[in-house]
Amino acid sequence: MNMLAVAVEHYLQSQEWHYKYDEERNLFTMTMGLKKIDSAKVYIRIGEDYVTTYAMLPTHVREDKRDVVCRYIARANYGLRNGNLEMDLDDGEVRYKTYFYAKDRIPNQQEIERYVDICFLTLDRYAEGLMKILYADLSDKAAIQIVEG
Amino acid sequence: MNRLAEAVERSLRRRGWDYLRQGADGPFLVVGDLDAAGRTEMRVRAADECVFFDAKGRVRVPEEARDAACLYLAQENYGLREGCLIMDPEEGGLGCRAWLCAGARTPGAEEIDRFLDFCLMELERGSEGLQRALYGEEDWD
Repeated sequence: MNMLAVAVEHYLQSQEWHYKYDEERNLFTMTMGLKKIDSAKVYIRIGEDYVTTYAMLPTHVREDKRDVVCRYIARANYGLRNGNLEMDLDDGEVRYKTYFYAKDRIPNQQEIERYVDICFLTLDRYAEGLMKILYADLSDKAAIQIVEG
Repeated sequence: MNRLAEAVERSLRRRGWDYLRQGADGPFLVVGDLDAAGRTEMRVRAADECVFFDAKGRVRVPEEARDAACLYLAQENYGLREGCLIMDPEEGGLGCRAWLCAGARTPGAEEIDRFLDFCLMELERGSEGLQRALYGEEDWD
């Protein structure tokens, strides 16, 4: 486990979160209970000098909704500051991503908290709009207005 | 000037870039020309213990092409690490943004350079790729 992984693990333990660590893939996995959606899988990938966190929407977007979800994601990403929404066009998987660069240094706990927590909290916020698109046939513009006001 | 803004300014000076500081703590504006993105404005802002990078070029996606552009953005953004391509939903302006959260520390020049370079290179790549995706080999104009 490299020092970045040690620092991230220290944070996860400080929050008393249950997680798994795959040493071969340098990957932490956990499930977070959220508000707008029940829960989300969170993956924290540790690189040599970076950490990327992904919070996964539990529902894949079916093919006939991917166009409108792409537009929703583009609208969301235009206004977001910290991280961005992504969708895999092959299978409709949606996730929120944050990334930080940490070459030759150990990030402090506040920094890790910011990147990890923002990731799943922002997914939760924007998930509401996504669910409205998928299950209430809302347009991308209307769905964004629900989330962003 | 706050320490993050100072760190940004040091980076810009080290690169020998002309810039405009638009306030006591920035944001900093750098203007230049890229091949595909054209005249590009890079804004770097230090606020809330973070540094935000925002590059915008001349590319304006016409309304009838924005659905296709959103698909292209989704494809390009999937897997990017440092930031993402963005498009103004009202005007179709293409951009690239990234951010770093510094907290109580002062980021080094290499870190700031990394995000500056990412924004400019990705905007250029995205502009070229989007043009090809929408119009083949034709120019935007």
